[in-house]
Amino acid sequence: MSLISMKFLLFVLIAVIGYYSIPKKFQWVWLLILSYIYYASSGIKIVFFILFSTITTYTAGILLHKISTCHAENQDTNRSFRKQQIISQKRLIVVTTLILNFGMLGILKYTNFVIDIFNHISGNQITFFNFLLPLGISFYTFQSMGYLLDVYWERYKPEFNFFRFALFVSFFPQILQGPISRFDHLAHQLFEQHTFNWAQAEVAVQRILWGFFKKMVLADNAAMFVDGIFNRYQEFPGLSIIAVLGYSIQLYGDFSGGIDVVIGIAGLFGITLKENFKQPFFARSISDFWHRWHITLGTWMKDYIFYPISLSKGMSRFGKFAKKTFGKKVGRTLPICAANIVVFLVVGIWHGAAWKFIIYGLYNGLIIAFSGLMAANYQKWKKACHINDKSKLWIVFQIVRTFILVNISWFFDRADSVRQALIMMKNAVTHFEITSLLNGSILETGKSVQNFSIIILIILLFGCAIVFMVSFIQENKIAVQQVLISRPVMIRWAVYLMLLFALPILGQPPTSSGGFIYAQF
Amino acid sequence: MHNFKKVGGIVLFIALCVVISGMFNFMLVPYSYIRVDVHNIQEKKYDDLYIGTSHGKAGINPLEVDKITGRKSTNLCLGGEYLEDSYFLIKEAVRHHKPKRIIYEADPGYWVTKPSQNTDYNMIYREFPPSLVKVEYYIAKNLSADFRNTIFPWYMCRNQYTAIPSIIKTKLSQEYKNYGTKVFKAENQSYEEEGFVHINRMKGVPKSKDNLILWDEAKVYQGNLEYFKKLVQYCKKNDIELIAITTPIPQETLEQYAEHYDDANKYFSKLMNQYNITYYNFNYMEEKEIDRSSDAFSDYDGHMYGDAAQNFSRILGKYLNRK
Repeated sequence: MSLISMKFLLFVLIAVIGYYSIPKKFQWVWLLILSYIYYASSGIKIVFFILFSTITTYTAGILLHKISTCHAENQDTNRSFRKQQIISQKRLIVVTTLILNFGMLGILKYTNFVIDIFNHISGNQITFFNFLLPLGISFYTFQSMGYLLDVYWERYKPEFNFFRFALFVSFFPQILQGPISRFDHLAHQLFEQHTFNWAQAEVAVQRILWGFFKKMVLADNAAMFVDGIFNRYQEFPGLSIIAVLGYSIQLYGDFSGGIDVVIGIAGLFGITLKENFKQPFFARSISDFWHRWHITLGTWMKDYIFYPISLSKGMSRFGKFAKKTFGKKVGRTLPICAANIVVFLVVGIWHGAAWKFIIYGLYNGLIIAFSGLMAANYQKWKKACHINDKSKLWIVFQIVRTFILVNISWFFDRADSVRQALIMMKNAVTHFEITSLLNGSILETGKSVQNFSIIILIILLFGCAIVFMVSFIQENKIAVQQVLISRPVMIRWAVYLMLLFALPILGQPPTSSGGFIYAQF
Repeated sequence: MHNFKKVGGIVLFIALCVVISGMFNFMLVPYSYIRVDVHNIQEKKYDDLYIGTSHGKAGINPLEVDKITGRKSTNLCLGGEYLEDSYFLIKEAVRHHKPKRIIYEADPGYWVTKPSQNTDYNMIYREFPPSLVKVEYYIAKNLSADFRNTIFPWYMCRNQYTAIPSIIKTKLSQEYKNYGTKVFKAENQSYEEEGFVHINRMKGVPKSKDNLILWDEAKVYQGNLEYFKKLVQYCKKNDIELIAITTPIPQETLEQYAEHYDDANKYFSKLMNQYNITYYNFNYMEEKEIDRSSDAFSDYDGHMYGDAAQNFSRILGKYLNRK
């Protein structure tokens, strides 16, 4: 059930009416039923996968807690031996559950990739599997594994009610494309009793409208020529830069728009999901960019991969070795750099089963690692050049520099292969001519699309201007939604009407399957 | 009181949206001959109904066929008509008068593509009067589609903004109110009686190959298969005879893409045989009277010129008489 389908809107409408009509103590049960209906609507077979993840994680959480409480009750007998036993038991449970869940994700998502590599190396022709890829498996697997590790590290107690836990894993607005929620942030909201609140509902609807605007006016218009150029990149070598800039707009509009819709829908139930975007194109470094783009994935990686790796015994030994070999400063930074590279390698693999995604991840990781290593030098150089860190010009330079670096990575994200990405990057440098932007060839890129014209480009620029304006205001710490809600009703209505009618007038039908790019993850 | 005001405000806002949307609907949705086709099946009684694609629309002249068969028929084929549309067109027709026979024009290209959300998407649905069939059609076609198709029915016609004055003028005319067809007369084609579109020969206009979609069994759209089965069952249940045909295409195209067309023929022959349906693929019938030269077609895809269609319709009539 795509987020832009009429079926989904009706589903949400019925869900909201039902949610506030039934006795409050059953609200979470209603959400659970709806979440499973939503999930099963994409195929009854895929319910098995989410149930598998739910059952294994729930059971592991309970077992971990039981082991810990048993240990607390039996503190008198042979304490150190018992402690070791407990640690190894808990570790066994966690590792088994992680293997089961990530194993499932890995088999479904990456088997064909591995076969492809094997075929290339060995010259064999092993046939690919036609696996079913369950809806949102990457998102709910990460969310439930985050819960498992938190329980293991005793950050909070596990959920004892299986059905409540099942709701945490399957909460329908976020299952398709995130955000990846944490149990301690989301669960209590899911189980609390909510009363309908007009102001809250209006803010939620605003957010949904804004999300659809970004998706339909920004992303879908950009997709028309982005697809045209990427699909026929050899015909349009001079437009590689335009293609990747367009892809920036498309991906941001698509993903952040989808997240706005999701957050808005959750808001209709009185549930506040974590923000996943924070004006990413105002980032001043790649590291800053990843604190603003797909934030929940970034924090997940930081908490469950970066820190465990950085604080591991192996890394500590590596740190000592690095300090001895390269000196104190570099020695302290190197383990962090290594952890960052691993994190972004995982981010790349998470994005998909292809070499281009691995390179995409490594590219980001290497830049962050390099920046970390060079940080002290940068400071020296800045001092030598009398650069004021807080000057507007320097900030603009940093933003533009980061934007360029991010766009280079998009070549790998969007192209069909590493080869295509490299050719397009080369074309961007060797074939770029300003005249190619003005000679009408850009209109040729969307030739396969009906009624593609200069008007679409104008609409796209208009959409970008609106979104940029809003982002700029938000970057200056002004809550646009709150400002709007405090305006007189006629102004609000006018804004809502304009947003609403912009969707059919300025928007295009979606080009990616399922409507949203990240809905395929 | 507070809630009442809030609900009242929302109702007012929705009413405003409906009014604005209604205005756009009036201004942007053009008068199309599907309105006439749908009106015909509501008002007239037919023995035979033709369903299918633009090949059928341009290739089958019901008046010519009727001269041979002695029956009364109408052409409900349409460019962009997939089997799900055909199925509901038949249901709508049966709601008013049950035909004796349905002739389905199967275009291989339509079996390997999905209905795309362009101007054709809701053209047939839009012209249906309110009924349970329309509700069923809505659920089948629009419930899973982009919500803009439902909330803004003019959404797919938004690019018609340059035609707004002429659309308004037409819709305010007597011609529109009386389901007239003069408005569809253009230099290159005209809509004639009983749903036939007569394509005129145009000097100096190059023949296009752009619309050619080649057969690939791996790409068969399952939605078509599903609605084909439904159509077969529906006809069986209502005691309506179902015949399938494929209209001829230029010999040049057939030879150039022989493998694709042969495979399509095998597929359809097998499918029709499975359901015990008579199937005439006029590309493979030894029928000398059919003009297969490219002179008979307006493009390489197989849209017949009006005069070639007259000839083909008479031949089709003979085949339909065989049953």
